[in-house]
Amino acid sequence: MKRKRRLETFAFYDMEGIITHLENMAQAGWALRETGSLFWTYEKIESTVPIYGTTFFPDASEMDITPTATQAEFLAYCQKAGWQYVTQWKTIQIFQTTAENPIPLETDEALRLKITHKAMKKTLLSDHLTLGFLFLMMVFFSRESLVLWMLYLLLACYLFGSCFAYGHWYKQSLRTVEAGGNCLSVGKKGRFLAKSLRFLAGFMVLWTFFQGGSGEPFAMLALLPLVLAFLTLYFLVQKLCKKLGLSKKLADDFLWFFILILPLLFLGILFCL
Amino acid sequence: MKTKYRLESIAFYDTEALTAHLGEMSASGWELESVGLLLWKYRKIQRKKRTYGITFFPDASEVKDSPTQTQGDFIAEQAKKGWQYVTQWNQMQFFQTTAEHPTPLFVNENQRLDAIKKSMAITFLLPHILLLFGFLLQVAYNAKQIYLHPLHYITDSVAWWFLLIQTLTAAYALISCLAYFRWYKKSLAAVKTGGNCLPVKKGQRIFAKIPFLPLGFLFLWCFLLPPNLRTLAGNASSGIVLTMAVLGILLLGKTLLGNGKAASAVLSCMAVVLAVSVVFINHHLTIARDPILAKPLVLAENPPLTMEQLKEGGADTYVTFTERSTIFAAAQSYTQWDGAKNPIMGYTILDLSCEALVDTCVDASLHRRDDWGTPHPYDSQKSLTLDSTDAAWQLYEDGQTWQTYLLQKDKRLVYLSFYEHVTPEELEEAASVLLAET
Amino acid sequence: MAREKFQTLTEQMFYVLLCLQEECYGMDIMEKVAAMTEGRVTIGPGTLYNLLEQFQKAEIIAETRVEGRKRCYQITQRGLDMLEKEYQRLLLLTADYHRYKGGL
Repeated sequence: MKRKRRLETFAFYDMEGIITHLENMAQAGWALRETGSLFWTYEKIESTVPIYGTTFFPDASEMDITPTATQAEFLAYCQKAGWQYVTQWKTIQIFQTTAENPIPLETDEALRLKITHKAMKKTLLSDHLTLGFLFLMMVFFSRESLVLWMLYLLLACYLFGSCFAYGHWYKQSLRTVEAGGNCLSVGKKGRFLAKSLRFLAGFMVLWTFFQGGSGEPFAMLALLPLVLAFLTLYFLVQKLCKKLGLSKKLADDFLWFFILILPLLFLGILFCL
Repeated sequence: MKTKYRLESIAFYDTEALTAHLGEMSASGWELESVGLLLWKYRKIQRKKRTYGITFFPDASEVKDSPTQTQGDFIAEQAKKGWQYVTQWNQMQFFQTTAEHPTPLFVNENQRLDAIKKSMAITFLLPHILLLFGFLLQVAYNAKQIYLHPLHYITDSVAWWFLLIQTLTAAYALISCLAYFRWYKKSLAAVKTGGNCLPVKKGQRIFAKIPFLPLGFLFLWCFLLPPNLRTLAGNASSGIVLTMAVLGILLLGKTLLGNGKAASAVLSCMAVVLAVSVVFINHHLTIARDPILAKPLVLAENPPLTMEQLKEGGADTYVTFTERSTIFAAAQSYTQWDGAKNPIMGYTILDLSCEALVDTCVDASLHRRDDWGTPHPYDSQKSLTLDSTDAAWQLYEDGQTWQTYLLQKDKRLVYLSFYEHVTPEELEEAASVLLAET
Repeated sequence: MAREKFQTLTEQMFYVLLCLQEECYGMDIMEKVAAMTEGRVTIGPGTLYNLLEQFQKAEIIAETRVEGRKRCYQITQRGLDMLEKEYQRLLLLTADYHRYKGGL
């Protein structure tokens, strides 16, 4: 067990000070083991690390302020099995448990794959494909600007690549599940592709600042704050829809309008000016 | 509660990677709180609260892992109430519990005061009082030495630093003892009327942590001293070495003798004897060292005066040099040696920072005293008239075979010794050279 | 070859339907199945929820009552027929095993 020694200087009659210090050390993960004339020995407090589990609930939406009735029922099932609800990521429900051998959230691979695919179709695939086609369109419109052309192309590649990677995984997993096996784990290529979004974003920022001053990328310099402002606005509008208690469908429609129509409107105004 | 945000890039259908990542975050102390548009929010995992309690059991054993029988019963009784025994520190026992609303440990305030009084007498008061008197004696002695040997102290910054630290340490020991006595007196009055001991104030707590700051500072400062002062300040480094040696001996003693009343008594006596020895040995090294003899052999490149400027001859000679300064004065000492390492000439140029110090330094030079204030026997002086000085004297010591002079002009004093005979003209020339820039 | 929906039942489906011969809360099925099979078969809460939803859509089970978040289910006639069919299929498998054990 991990131990450490600390030089402690307490007045012997300062009982309250000693107790407070020991409690603070315990909160930081160290329990007193032994005292000495100058050095006191502390031991690391072993704590139980929770296990995490995820499952898809296709009817869930980030627009829901509180879980819907059906979702609440679903969460109750999981709680009965010892899983504490943490949060949700779009349609993924995230749970945790400290039980030693917990019942897995999903025990039927075929059903799990089916639900995954349903959730993917509903959320990510539609978003990625739509944005992918949008960026592909922008590639044709920005042929004269090399920087923008490269950027849109990279983004379109990323989005289509992600969809393709998922499709490939789904097909392979379906094959194994029908033969009685388990869903495949996402390979290194799939995970690399997911992480590549970070690199893309970083590359975008670096490219912008490295190219600064050479004329053309002032467009990029202007674009970045615009993109950030747009994202912030989107986030605020999403929060507003939640606060107003708009229905999921209405909120989704409104946000799609926001994503698609507003930028086109903005570009149109710029063009006219 | 502490929170942090992270940008996560996990494929939406990659549940394995997602659960593994969340598990890793958990293991490093962060649990997922919510997922945002771009960033995921994590919060620091709150550990189960651990409450500590302290008791003062009168029949406590000195040996931590082997309680006495009644102490064992006492521990078992506390265990029934949910308190787990941890360890003990002198007569103080530590207990811990993770219960949400634990029954408070009963502390008998009278027993608490008795235990504190007993423990503080040996572990706190005795060393602090020794420290106080030891350093007060040092301070008094040093103050006397400053009065008796101003010329030495006026250019020895190390001595002043040590005086400051000794004074501060004595003050610290005094204030600590007074603070404790005050707390004890008030607590005793409170307990006698059925109340509890007083809590210790924040200022007192901070004060308890102070001693390591000056010690740490002293340790670092000794290693940052400029090289020429380091050898002169053998007192500082020798003090550190002596202290480390004493600590090493005490640690060895503790390992060999183990725990127990007899062992503690022996070690305490050893600590006191060794500490006092360190103080006196170091004092001897500080005060008794002759700074002239202690100077390192640094060759002077362009000494202001050499014997060759006064008379012909004197091949194969060299000049060594030392320098010291404080805010009061700056001293430069030169000694010219022949090939056989015999001194030919030596002089110290002392530039004082203010005129008020001139008379004191002249008086100290003319009327030397020993460490007890007794005038040095057989000293006499003869006043001289030299053109380039405001005042000049020749100093005589019985048995002395060399000529020694003290020259003064404005705020500069020069203490000059010739180991060969010089004529008055040569002396005049030497004075004009050495007192030229004042 | 892909299995037609509910043409053959998985172990978990089989035991859920077996449980629901009597009216039962959905949440209690996990424990009941574990008890019936002495821990051999476990149904995860996610799987159970989805199965009950699918069964309900296919009218294999019916919701009998609701108490707050707890719903009670019971197998329908269609469900009973399906269970019987699965049982007969398993019997056939068993018979074939006994007949051809050791090779043709």
